[in-house]
Amino acid sequence: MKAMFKRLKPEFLFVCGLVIMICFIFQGNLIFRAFQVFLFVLLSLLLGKRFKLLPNLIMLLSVTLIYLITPRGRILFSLGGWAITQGSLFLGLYRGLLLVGLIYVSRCFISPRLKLPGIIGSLLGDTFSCFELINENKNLFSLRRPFVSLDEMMIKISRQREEPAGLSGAQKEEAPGRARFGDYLVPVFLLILNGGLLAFPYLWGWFQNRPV
Amino acid sequence: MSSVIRDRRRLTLLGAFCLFLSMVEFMIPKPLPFLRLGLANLPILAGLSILNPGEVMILVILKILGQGLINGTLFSYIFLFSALGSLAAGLVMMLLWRFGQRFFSYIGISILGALASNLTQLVFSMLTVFGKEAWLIAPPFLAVGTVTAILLGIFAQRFSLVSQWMKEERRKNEGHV
Repeated sequence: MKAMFKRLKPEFLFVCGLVIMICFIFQGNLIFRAFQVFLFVLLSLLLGKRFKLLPNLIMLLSVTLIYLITPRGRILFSLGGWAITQGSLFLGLYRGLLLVGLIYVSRCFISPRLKLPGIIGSLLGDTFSCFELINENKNLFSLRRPFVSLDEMMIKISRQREEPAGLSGAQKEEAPGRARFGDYLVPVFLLILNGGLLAFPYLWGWFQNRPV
Repeated sequence: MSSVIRDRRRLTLLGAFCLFLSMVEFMIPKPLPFLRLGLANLPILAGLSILNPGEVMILVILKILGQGLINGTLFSYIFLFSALGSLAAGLVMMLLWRFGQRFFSYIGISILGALASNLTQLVFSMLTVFGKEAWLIAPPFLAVGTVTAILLGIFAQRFSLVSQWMKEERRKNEGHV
């Protein structure tokens, strides 16, 4: 899966991510939203991205807890004198899932190879090639003498950049190759699925109320 | 915009260090996802003495976009929080350096920059995610931000004193003038 996504153009992935993000933000059904988050986390795992359950749970629970402070709607149960209400619980989970889900949509569909237009895009390109040089020289940094070692590292990298341009790590990396038809299947499937999940409640409502 | 930039290599080197430090911060475990150390602000703080105001703001933009692309957070709330916080901090630090250099050290500038960043993020979280209850997380959020800002300020102060690279860059600036 990782190789498939790598072969796709970063601009294509960006547009897919943007559309999926819109479908995700406007999703009104809590169950569907939870399912979408599950899909995004699963995709992120398949793409070999780092996943830690605890920070995500803490984020979800802290947002939900903050919403539970203000009661909304029917009381589900009480903890001491604290009324846990259905409206607050749903709203908290709804917002918490939005935060967690957007992180994973972003991680799956934003590639560091994405080139932004204009002067800022060109400066960012230079910044990334310099970042590669820093990564190649990161062993020069020592926690025992942080000021001096950081300074030495900056001097060395500045001098390297003044030399005639060689290939940086990013440029040395093998080109990912041309995208094949099959590479487009997963992003396009996710686009259709997320669009379908957004449209489903409206279509279902229309289907039930249609003139017979 | 290109007329603002005096030295493209220096600007992008500092931008790359912002990304490097943000990667280092990404690897440090945090007890709560909202807590940040702000290590990536160090090159901005150090850059105040060698960059002009326009370059400082471009450096902030490079940091925001670079972090969004490298960490893949461009579509998330994290990106918006980071962008607003960084822009507020960058603006406050740049103005303090320009107009209040006599009254503030790197430590003072770092603390006020962190306060500007954290308050902007709190107001944004109040408007978008948490509602008015956001003020409940304000005390730990601001406390951690202030402590890390003091440490960053001390680091920037020491670094600016011992760094040969910064001395060389200041000399280049004087040559320009």
